[in-house]
Amino acid sequence: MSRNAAVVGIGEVPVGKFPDRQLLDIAITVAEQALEDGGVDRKEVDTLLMAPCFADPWFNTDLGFARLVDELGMRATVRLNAQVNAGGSTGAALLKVAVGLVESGQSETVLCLHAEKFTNLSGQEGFDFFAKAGIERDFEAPFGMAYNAIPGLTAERYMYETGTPIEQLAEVSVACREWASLHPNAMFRKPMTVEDVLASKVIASPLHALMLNMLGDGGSAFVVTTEDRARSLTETPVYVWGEGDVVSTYSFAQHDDITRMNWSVAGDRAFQQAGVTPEDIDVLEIYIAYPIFHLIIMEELGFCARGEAGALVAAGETRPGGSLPTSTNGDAMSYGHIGAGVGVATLVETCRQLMDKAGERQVPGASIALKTAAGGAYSNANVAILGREPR
Amino acid sequence: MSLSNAESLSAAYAAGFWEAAERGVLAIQHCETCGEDQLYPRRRCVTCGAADLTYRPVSGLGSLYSFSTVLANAPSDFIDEMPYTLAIVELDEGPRLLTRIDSDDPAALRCDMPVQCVFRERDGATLPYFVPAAGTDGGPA
Repeated sequence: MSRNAAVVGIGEVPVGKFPDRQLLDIAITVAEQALEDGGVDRKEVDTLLMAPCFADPWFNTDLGFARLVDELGMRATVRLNAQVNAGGSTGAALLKVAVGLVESGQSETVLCLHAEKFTNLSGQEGFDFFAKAGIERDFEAPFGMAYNAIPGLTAERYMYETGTPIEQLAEVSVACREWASLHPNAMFRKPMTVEDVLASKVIASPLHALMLNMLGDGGSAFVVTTEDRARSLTETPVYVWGEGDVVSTYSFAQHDDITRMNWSVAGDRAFQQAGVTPEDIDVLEIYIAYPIFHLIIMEELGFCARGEAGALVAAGETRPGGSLPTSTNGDAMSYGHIGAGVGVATLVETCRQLMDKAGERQVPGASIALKTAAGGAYSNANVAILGREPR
Repeated sequence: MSLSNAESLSAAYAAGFWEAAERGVLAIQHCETCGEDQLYPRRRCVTCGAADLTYRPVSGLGSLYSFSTVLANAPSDFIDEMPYTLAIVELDEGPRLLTRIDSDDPAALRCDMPVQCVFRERDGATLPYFVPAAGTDGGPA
């Protein structure tokens, strides 16, 4: 059986610190939003796929134990309940698995969702968690490795090789904040300047606090079904045109070139499969959580030459109204970091732009979008190109 | 993350690394099947998957590929050590490792500057730290 799949519905709750909002409430809310958005009856869902929840091991266990099938009233109509965990690449993995199941005929309608509650952890517990996530525990953690040092080490080398000034990294944070100021679900919405970013304290040199991200609570969901069904459900289905993925070294320090990683390979695969070039992309949805990697991705994917991305951002081209609208949900620096779900939320935002549902931050006429995700300690590079029309 | 919990200290695959470190020698893994060298120690060759890995001593000399000084938000066991500088060092023999660089003059650190290995005791293990190479700014006389 060969058929096309499409994303038909999306859901998302506000990101932030919501200690009274329960994980099940997040999960049920985003699931029902996505079903309603796509006009999908819950009894149509035969496959339920869930991202991991990092901050609550028991909720995470419940996800694998089919609790949501019960809580959502999907007993017996669901034939597969499973968790998909690819760290920060989970959104990319969910999309790939859901589309694969539908296109191969094994599933008719797949609901993918994520819920996270980092306010369960203190700030220090968050630092400790991310000092062991994707960091080798015997040979790297004993030196005091911290997750924020990954972009710190990368930025130091990148600035040394390209001459890019720190102000241009700050510009990425500012541009993302401008988008987030238009996003009702973003965690940080107050506009800020380059001066604000550079006045925030240095956490892991050369990076300032406002070049990093804050853990928050949040969640999102999307529904994938067949193209035929999608056309009867909605006027705005979203189709996958091409994907490029690389899984490489577990330890980020072992990349041959930390200032390039595997983005050009992933990008080339996605562009080739989609049959488009960077000039065809209307909106660039980067999820990478730190400004330095925005510059690297823009260059490695061919949106500009090596060492020129900082100037492009400083010129305002990635902001609202610019020629290359980028990270319209603000990326994790402003959207908030919700663990494995930032990539799910970025896919949701990508679909939202292509569905013409992005409100104040809608990129006019957006018909082809490219989104990225990175998993582990940048072991995974994921690029996907999506469009309003079938490919 | 205390090293006293590190499983590798008593694991066969890493024994050659820790035994060399106790003698003040940095050792890398060499794959007898495909000929590639690697650090940190692993159970299999990351290039070809072979298990016949042997340890070879290296000079302990290299260059500073990159560095980042942690000034806040360190993991619990390292709060008292802030500020400290993490580094990726490229050994003269090829492999890279994530490590720590100690310097009397952190402001003088530069990418690609020569560095050398010095061993430090921590939580019952002998860890390969690095310092600027003798004769460079911030290095031993």
